[in-house]
Amino acid sequence: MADANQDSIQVVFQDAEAAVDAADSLSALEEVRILFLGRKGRIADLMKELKSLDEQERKARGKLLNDRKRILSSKFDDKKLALEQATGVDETGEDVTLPGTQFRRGRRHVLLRVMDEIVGVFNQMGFDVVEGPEIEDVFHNFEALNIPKSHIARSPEENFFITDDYLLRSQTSPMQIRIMEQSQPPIRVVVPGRVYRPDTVDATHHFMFHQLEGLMVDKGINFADLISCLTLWAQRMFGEHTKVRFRPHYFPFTEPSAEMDVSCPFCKKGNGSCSVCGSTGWLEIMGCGMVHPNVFRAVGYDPEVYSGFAFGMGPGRIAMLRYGIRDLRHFIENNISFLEQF
Amino acid sequence: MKYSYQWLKEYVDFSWAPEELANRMTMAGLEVGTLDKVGDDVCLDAEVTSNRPDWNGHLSAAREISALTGNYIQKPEQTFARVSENILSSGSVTVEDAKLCPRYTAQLIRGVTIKESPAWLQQRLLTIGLRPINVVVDVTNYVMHEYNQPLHAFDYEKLNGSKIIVRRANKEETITAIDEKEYRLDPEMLVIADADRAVAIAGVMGGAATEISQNSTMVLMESAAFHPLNIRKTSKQLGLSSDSSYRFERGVDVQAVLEASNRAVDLIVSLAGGEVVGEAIDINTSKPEEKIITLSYRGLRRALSLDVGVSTIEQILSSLDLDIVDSHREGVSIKVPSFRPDLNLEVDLIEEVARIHGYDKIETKASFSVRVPRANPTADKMQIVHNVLTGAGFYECMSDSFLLNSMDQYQNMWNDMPALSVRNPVRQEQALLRKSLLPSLLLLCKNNENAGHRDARLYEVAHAYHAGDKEISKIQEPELLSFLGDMSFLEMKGVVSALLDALHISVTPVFEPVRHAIFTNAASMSLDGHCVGFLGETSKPAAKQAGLKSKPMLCELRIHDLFASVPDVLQYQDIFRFPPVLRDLAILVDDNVRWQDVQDLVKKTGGELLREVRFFDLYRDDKMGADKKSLAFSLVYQAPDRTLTTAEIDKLQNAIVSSLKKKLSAAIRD
Repeated sequence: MADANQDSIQVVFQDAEAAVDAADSLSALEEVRILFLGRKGRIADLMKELKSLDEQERKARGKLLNDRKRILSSKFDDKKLALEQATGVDETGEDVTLPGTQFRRGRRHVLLRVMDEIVGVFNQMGFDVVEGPEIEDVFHNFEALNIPKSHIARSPEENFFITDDYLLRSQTSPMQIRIMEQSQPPIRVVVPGRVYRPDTVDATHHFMFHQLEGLMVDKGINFADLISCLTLWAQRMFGEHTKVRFRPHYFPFTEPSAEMDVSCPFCKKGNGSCSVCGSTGWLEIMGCGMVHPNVFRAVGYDPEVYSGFAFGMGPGRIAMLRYGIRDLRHFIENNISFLEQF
Repeated sequence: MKYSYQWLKEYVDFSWAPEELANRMTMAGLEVGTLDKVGDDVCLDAEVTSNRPDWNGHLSAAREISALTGNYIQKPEQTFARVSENILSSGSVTVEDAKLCPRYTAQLIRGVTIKESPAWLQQRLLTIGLRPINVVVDVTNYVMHEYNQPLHAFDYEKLNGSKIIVRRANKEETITAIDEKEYRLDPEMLVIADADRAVAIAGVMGGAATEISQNSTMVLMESAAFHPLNIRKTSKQLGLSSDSSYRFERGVDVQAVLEASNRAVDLIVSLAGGEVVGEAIDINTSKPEEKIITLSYRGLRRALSLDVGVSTIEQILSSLDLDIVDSHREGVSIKVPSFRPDLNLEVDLIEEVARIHGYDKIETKASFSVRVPRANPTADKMQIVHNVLTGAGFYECMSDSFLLNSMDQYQNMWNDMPALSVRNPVRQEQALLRKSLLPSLLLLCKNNENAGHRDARLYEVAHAYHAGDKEISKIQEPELLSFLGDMSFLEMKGVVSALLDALHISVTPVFEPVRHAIFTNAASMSLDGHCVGFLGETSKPAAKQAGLKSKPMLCELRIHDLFASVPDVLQYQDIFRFPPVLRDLAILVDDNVRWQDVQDLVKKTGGELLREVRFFDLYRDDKMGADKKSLAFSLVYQAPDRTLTTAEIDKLQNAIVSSLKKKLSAAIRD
C-alpha cells in the first residue's frame, strides 16, 4: 500500500472532481459515484488506510477526508441535478402522446343551464327569482289573468285538469298574480318553471315544457321600459350586436302586447336560405306586454296608480336555437350521448 | 287565414309588393308567415290572434291596410233590386232557441242558373286554397272570406214544407251532411230543419238532401249568428269542423249578418241570373252594445313614452272604422263598432294607436334603473349541490313529471296517499303525477342502458307531487334531489358525505335501516332528528319493472330539509399546529355490532384529545368464525397546545381498548 499521504488524498479527490465534471449523462455520473463514493470506491479505500496511522495523524487525516468528501458529495449532487434538468427527469421516458387517465365529469342539463343563464341576466338587472306551484287553481291560472270561462284557452282539451278547480299550470303567469297578492309594488321578479299543455309529442312540441315569466310593476312604468329592459337582456344573452324588434300581438293579460324577435345569429341576412330562421332574418323569442288593468284589479292594485310589464319565454326554444338542436325530445330523453355534449 | 294579394287590392290602394305588404301587416300585428305564388296572384298566410276574429275576412285586413296607408277603403256595393212578391213570410222561418241563434236571416233568389263561376272568382278561391264547385257555393265561400260571415245556400224546393226551423236536434236524430257522412245528433246541438227533418248542422255543415245541385233554380240564402261555445261543442263532439264552424267558434259580427247576405245575393244575381223575391226575413234578438271608450292624450303619452300628434291619432282611429263621437283638447272618444268586441278599455285604444303608428317609433333607453335583487340563499346552496354532483360524475337529467302507472308501487317512501292524476293524460298508461323521482331515474337508466351507456350516473332536481289528504288544496310539491349510479352502498354514502360536507352541514347524519319497495338494503338518513332522505340498492322487482339489467344504487333527499341543516354562518376554527399521532386498531366483534356503536364508544372514551376515528377496513374470514367480523380503524390523537407524549396516548389507547373489550366484547387483533 502506498503512503496515504496528503498528496495522494489530493490526487484522489482531484480525480474525483474532474470525473464528476466530465460526466455527461446520469449513467456516466453513476459510474463515477460507484468508482469514488461507493462502498468499494477509492475514497472508501482511503478511509481504510486510516487504520494504519497513529491517533493524531488519524484524526487530522480523517478530518481532511471528511471535509473533502462533503465537498465532493455536494458537487456530485449539483451535477446530478444539472444533468436531470438537462435530460428530463426520467431518462427512460413515457410516450407523452398516450391518453390521460379518464376521470368522470358530470354535466348540468343543457336546458336547465340555459334557464340559469337567462335567469342570471335578469337577476343582474335587479329581478328577484321565485318559483311557484305547478298545480294551480283556476282563479290564478285563468280568471285573475283576464281569461274568462268562455275563452278557448280554458277548455278541458287544452289543459290538464285534475279536478274542476285545479289543473297543472298552463303557463308560469299565475305566479305573477300570487306575487302581487303577497306584496306591494315595486315588484321586479322572474319565475322559472315547468308548465303543461296537452299536445302531441313531436320534434317541436311536447306536453311538458319550461317557461320563464317576468314581471315589473311600479309607478310610471311604460312601454318604453319594457322595450328597453328586454332589448338590454337580449344583447346580454345573444351578443352586443343583436338587433331586436317588437311586433304587436295578443295576450289576454297584457295590453298593448307584443312578440319580440331577435336577429338570427346564424344567417347572413337575405343571403340565400337559412334553415334556422327560414330566411326572415328574425327569430321569435318571447311574448310580452303591459299588464292589463283587469289583472291589476284582480289583485287589488289600482291601475290608475300602478303600471307594469310582463314577459314570458321558453328557454327550450332558446337552447334549441343557440345549439342547433332540432328535436326537443332530446331534452326529455336524457340520453348520455346528448347530455355529454354540453 | 289565407289572403289573396289581388283581392286585397280591390278594397284599398297600396303600392307595396307582396313581401312588403306582408312585412307591414306583420308589424301592425297581423303576422304573415308564408307567401306563395298562385298563378298571377300571391297567397299570404297569416296568423289570426284570438282577439281579432274579424281578421278572418278580407275586408278587415283591408281596413288594416287602409289605416297603414291612410287610403280610403272601398266596400262592395249592392245593386240588385227586389221583386215585390212575398214567397217567404214571417211563418217561413222560426227560431226556437234564440240563445243559441241570436240572429237568423233568409233571402230567396228565383230563377238561378247553376254553372261554373267566372274565372276571376275561381282564381280568388284557388289563391286561398279553396276548390271552386259551382257559382252559388263559390259565392257563399267568397263572401265568407270577405266579410268573415259564413253563409249557406239551400235548394229551396227541397225544403219540406218550405220552412226553416232553427231548433235543437231531437234525440237520436241523424243527418247526412254534404261530406256524404252520416252524423248522429243530440239535443245539445243546434240544427237547421225543415218541416220534417234536420237539413243542416247549424254553423257547421249543410245537409246533402238540400244541397245546391245542377238543377237547382231557387236558392234560399242563410246568413246567421250562432252561439260560439255551442258551435265549438257540437264541432268537437261530432269530430267535424269547417271554415264555417271555425268562424262561428271565434265570433262573427252579428250586425253585419244581413249586409253579407245582401252582398252574396247581389253577386249571385249578377253571375248566375235570377231575381231576389221579397224582403229578407230577419229574426234578430241580439242587442247591440253601445260602447264608448275615451282615449286621453296624456294617458297615451305616459303609457308609450311617445308623442303622437293629435291628427295622427284621429286618422288612425277613424281609418280603423272607430267612429269619433267626441274630441277635445284632452282626448278623443270613439264608439266601438260591432266587429271589435276586443275593444273595451282605454289601453285597447292605446294599443291600436301604437301598433298602427309603429312600435319601432318607441325609443329604447340605454340603461335600466338599478335595484339590488333579494338574496337567494337557496339558489346558492343549489349551486353547491350541482357542483358536487357534476364533480362526482353525475349527469343532470330533466324527466317527465308523469310516471308510468306500473311503477306506482315504487314511489311510496315519502307519502303513501294515492298519486294525483289528470283527467286527460296524453298516455293512459302514464297518468300519474310522480311522488318520487327515483322511478323516473330508473327508466332513464334503462334507456341509457339500451343505448349502450352502462354505469350511468344520473341526477335530477325537481318537484314531486304529494296529496296531503282528501283536500286537494293541501297538495304539497316538495323539491327532491335524486341520483343513482353503478356504485356500492358505501360509495353512494361517500357522495352523500361529500354533499353534506360541501354544504358545511356539521351535524352528524343518522342512518337507520329501512324498507321500501324500490330498495333492498336501504337506509334512511336523518339530520337534527328529521328524515332527510333514503339510500339503497334498487330491488330486483323494481329493476325488472323498469326493464333494467343492472341494479344501481339510489339516493333521494328532500332539498328543503337538507338545506335547513346548513349553518347560517361559517366560522373559522383554529388550525392545530402540533403534530397528530395515529394509532391503528383492529378489533374482532360479533356481526351484529354496528360501526356506529364502535365509533360512539371510542369517541366517548377517547375524549377531546381523540380528534378523529378513521374507519378503513371491514374484514370477514371463515377462520374468524361465521358470525364474527373484523373492524379496523385509525385513532388520530392531537392536542391544540402541545405535542402529546407517548404516555398520554398510551393511557387513552388502553382505556379505549378496555372499554371495547368490556362493552362490546371485542377482541383486539394484532
